[in-house]
Amino acid sequence: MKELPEKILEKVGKYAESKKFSDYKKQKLIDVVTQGYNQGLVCKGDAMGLIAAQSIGEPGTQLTLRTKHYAGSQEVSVGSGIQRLSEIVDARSFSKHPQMTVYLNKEIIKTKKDAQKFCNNLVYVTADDIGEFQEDFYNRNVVYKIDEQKVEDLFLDKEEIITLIFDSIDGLYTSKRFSGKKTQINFLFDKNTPLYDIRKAIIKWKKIPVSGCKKIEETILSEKENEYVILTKGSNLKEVLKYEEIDSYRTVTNDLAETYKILGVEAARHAVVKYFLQVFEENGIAIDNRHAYLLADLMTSNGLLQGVVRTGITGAKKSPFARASFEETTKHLLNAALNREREELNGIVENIIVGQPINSGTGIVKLTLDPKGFEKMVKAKKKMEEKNK
Amino acid sequence: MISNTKKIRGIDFSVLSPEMIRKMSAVEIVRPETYDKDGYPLERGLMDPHLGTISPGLRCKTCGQNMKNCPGHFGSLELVRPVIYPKYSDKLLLILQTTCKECGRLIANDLEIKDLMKISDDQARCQKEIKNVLKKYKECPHCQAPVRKVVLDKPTNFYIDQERIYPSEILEWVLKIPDEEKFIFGYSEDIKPEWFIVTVLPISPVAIRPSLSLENVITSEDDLTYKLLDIVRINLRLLENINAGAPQIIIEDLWDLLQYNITTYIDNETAGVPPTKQRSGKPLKSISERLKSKKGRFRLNLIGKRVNSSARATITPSLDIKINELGVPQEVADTLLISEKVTFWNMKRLKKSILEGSAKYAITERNLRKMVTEENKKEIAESVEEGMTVRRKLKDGDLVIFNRQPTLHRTSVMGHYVKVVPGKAFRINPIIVGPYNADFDGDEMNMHCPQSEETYAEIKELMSLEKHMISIRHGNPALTPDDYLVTGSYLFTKKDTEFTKKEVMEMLYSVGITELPTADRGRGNYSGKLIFSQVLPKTLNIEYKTKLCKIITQNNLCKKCTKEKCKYDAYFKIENGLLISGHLDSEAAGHKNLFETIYKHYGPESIVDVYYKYAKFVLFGLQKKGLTMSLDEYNASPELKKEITQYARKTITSSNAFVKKYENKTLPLIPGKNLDETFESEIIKLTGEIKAELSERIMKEKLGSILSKTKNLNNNSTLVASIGGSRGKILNVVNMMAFWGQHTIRTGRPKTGFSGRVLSHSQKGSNQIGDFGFVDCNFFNGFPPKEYFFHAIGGRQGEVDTGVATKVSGYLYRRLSNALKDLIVGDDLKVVGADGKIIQFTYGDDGLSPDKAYLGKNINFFDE
Repeated sequence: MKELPEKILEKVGKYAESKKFSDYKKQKLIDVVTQGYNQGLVCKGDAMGLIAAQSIGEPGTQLTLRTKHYAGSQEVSVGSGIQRLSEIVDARSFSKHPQMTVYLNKEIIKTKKDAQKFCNNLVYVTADDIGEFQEDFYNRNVVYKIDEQKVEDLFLDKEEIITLIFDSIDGLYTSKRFSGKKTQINFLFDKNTPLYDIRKAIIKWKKIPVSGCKKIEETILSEKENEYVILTKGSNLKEVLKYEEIDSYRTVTNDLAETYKILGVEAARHAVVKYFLQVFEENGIAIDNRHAYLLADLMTSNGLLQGVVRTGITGAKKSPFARASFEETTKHLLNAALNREREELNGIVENIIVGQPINSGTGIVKLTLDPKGFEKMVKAKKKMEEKNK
Repeated sequence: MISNTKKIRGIDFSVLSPEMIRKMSAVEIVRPETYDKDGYPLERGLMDPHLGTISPGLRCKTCGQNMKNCPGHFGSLELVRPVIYPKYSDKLLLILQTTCKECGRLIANDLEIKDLMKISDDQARCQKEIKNVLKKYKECPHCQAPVRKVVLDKPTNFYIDQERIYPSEILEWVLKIPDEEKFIFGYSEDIKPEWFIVTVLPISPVAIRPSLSLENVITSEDDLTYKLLDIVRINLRLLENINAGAPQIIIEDLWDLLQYNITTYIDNETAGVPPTKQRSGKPLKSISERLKSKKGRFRLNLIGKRVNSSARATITPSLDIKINELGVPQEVADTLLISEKVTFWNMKRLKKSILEGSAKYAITERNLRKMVTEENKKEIAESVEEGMTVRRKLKDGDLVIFNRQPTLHRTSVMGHYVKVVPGKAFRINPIIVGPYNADFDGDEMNMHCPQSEETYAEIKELMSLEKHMISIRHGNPALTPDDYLVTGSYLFTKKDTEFTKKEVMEMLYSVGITELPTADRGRGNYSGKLIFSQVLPKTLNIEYKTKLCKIITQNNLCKKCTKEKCKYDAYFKIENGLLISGHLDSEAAGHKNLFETIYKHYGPESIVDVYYKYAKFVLFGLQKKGLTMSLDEYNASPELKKEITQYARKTITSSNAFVKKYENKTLPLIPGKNLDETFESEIIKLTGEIKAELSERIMKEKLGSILSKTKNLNNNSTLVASIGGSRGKILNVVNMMAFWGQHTIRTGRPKTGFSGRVLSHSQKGSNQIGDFGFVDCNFFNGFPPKEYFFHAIGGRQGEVDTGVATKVSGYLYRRLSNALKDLIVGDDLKVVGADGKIIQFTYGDDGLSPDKAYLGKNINFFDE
């Protein structure tokens, strides 16, 4: 008999308390629950891995093919359906629809206006986004003009921004100065500077970051359970975590590889389970969490996030037959020969290939019956019965 | 039985050395011929009898065994000139690039060699390091010869400064390398790089390349034999030319030809080499193609194997077959045999079966098989004694395995009890199509007969249908009545359903209930609810709100819940096995209600019985009551028609406002979106909203008539199906009665097609919603061409999507099962991989199996 897990024991205790059971009655209840729990346990030799694979694979055709959908009225697109599932299972390093959920630190951000301001500031803005470079190639003169409306929309300080841009631009020009009530910057170039070089420099200047985090394209402020949450399109967990205004404990990204890189393997395992189950839930397909746990545990069992691909888990298998029977048959056989590998015949396919009982289910039982000995036993028993008569 | 078999502990992989090939060779092949004129294999030819025998009756000249027992023996062919083994040529390249041609030493000084030795365990790192060291030197540190770059022209030609180096030179070169330095490359005593140059070619046993004899005159050889013939022939020619002192060019050409033939013998798909073809033009099948890919040895013959004792037939539904039974056609039952060991208890029966002719063989303890015939059956029957085995035909009550492909999950293979039936098709109860994903439009399914007692026990305890009533995927019932059964049960248990005494007696008798309940309706009639209750266990208590209840509350028709006194009969309640109010719907069938409760509280035997009776009753009721969709149902009343036109007009007028703003570029932008995107999403939002409004309106109208006391069902069959939860939604009614609304493909409205417009029917540059998939027609009146084409766009997309989805998910499934298949529950609920690595310390964090845990509930760590 296996003892009850703590959580169930706690629940039972609470129930007994609410019904005011005596100690004897409570113990009896625990006994009953323990019995029920033990009946529900998996058996030794159960191929739970294959069952998980079947449970995930079988409803695969029912998943939609839609590559993205919009999360409720909040118009942030996240991947869904079979494509997203395959993205999760492969542990691909770049998600097609990266997205972040940023929770805010309630101590710093109190009002909606604060939240909206921070929300807008998070978007990656370059010099090109809030202004314009006007080129006068004849005079070798370039003017950067800031768009005041755009700056205002982003809750940015005009003065600050223009100084920032002013300071961060350097290189080819001979002189630079503010003009037009500090809304413009004038650059003068030497008459002999090649036009090509000027253009090149401008292209470089256009990319000067003004505010926000790189890779974050859009942000939407929404209200969830009495607090403000920012949903972003594009993901950059490392940079976002540097802000003080956010709640770094709860802020997440839906990019698995990024989660693994920044938060570690346990977080990646958690993320695999979460986003995996999310795909099935969105499509209205019931699936037990345990299958997801097993898959996630396998994917992270080597201390790094490995995908279910030929270069990932299956490729890392020890048995040459198991690898050869999956993909790239000849390559794996040739390498096995070169490295003098030994097929230990521990797995399932390996034993099927050589035609032996497999090491799972009822095949795991090593105890066998000696038919002749058994017959002797039966005969002895018969004799005993006859004697008794 | 298992105790007597030998067990393979492991298989070693390695590269054969030439000495080894010579040692294991049974015969050295010299003649490029196979058979003589009389059809006898030639000595020292490619079909030499020393290579094993493939003709029955002949004995192998090497091992002296017959065809069945001879494992086949390798021969050998001494190549006149060595050739490169193409698959390892890149390994040779590395060696040639980093060693000196003159002295054979690694290009590194002694100190560096010592350092490299230390990291030789990590081959990838070591090889990188070797290359790094190489860059330092322009001449060999040992003999001062200049370092020259070796290039490989794939697959087999090596060059130094555009000058060809031949395999014989390479062989000399590699032999010069000291053993310790080979070790740095990862080679040891057991495997040496010089073995990558073929000097002796192993000739495969005849068993893997049998010759086919057609009409006893013409023999056709295997592809490999043809290839080997070429190799032997060229080898011979090369030898003759060398002996005759032919010019170097001719010898080199022949040498290249030999290399080419050996390359394509191993892999006929090598990049950069033209494939050898048969006379017919079909490429020859090389060794590596035999193993590779889906049609190769591994995936076709080793992972999946063919079996005996199986049958395949079309399936057909039958209500007289219980759900854990399988109707097996007489012909199948007579052909398939199962073994039964004679014991004290079954001796009488088996003797009888021999006399009756239903047993075919009697096998003594010493494994002597006697066939039962008309003449000797009495004699055999008398000789039957304990310990013998009788092979008999299938009979009622035997267990067999039943399967439908694609076998996507474990419930696609289940154990059934045999019931021999006439005809030629398998018969199953229509309730069980779910787990198999079967239908009766011509599906074929497979049956397998257990051939040992172990198998029989496993089928009974692990595979039988009763053990799979709860799906291990989600912990909910695996068998759920759907479509017509749900409709049937709704009609059957509806408030006003009545059956006459005659009908009731027919129903009850068909399932073996002999007790007639007392009539509860006027004129001696019985209510459907009462009859349905006969199916249920007598102590069952259950109550919940039906689907109809939810619809009613959504439409604000019900203010206070009166439970079983509900005037709409929407509260489902069973008291002591008696259905007192409410009707059955998909809620009862699908999710954790009626059937699951019965399973949990009364066990698998009970649910098997309940389902059997339930299906019979419900389909009988459905036959009697019927459900017909009439055209009138979709003909809206004049007032409604007017309203519908108003809705359609409203959509167009309000969309025109958007169109105008869009064209003037005055549309207020949604943050983060540009004008086009804003316009798109506004239109989709608008059309969606109006359609939702309309369907609510129609639902109200329809609901009014279904709940009114006129009992006029004829007009609402679609809604009956919808309320029962079997098929269809109010949306389908809207499409038929009112209008389709906006067509969407993938992400939005149809946008591509002709330049500037989607269809040639619309004007170029128009932004009217009607030109981008908005349809204001309904199925009742029919679609004009433009609308029809929009509909077809959507239809095509659906078709493409299903095709792609099966492909994508099929591959995903294959990868998943390959990665996960070795994970098995070990001691203490641990999950262990094939190499003994622990993946989980407790399965699923609580050790519970999803199908055994109560109601599939699990400890969810996302809860708190």
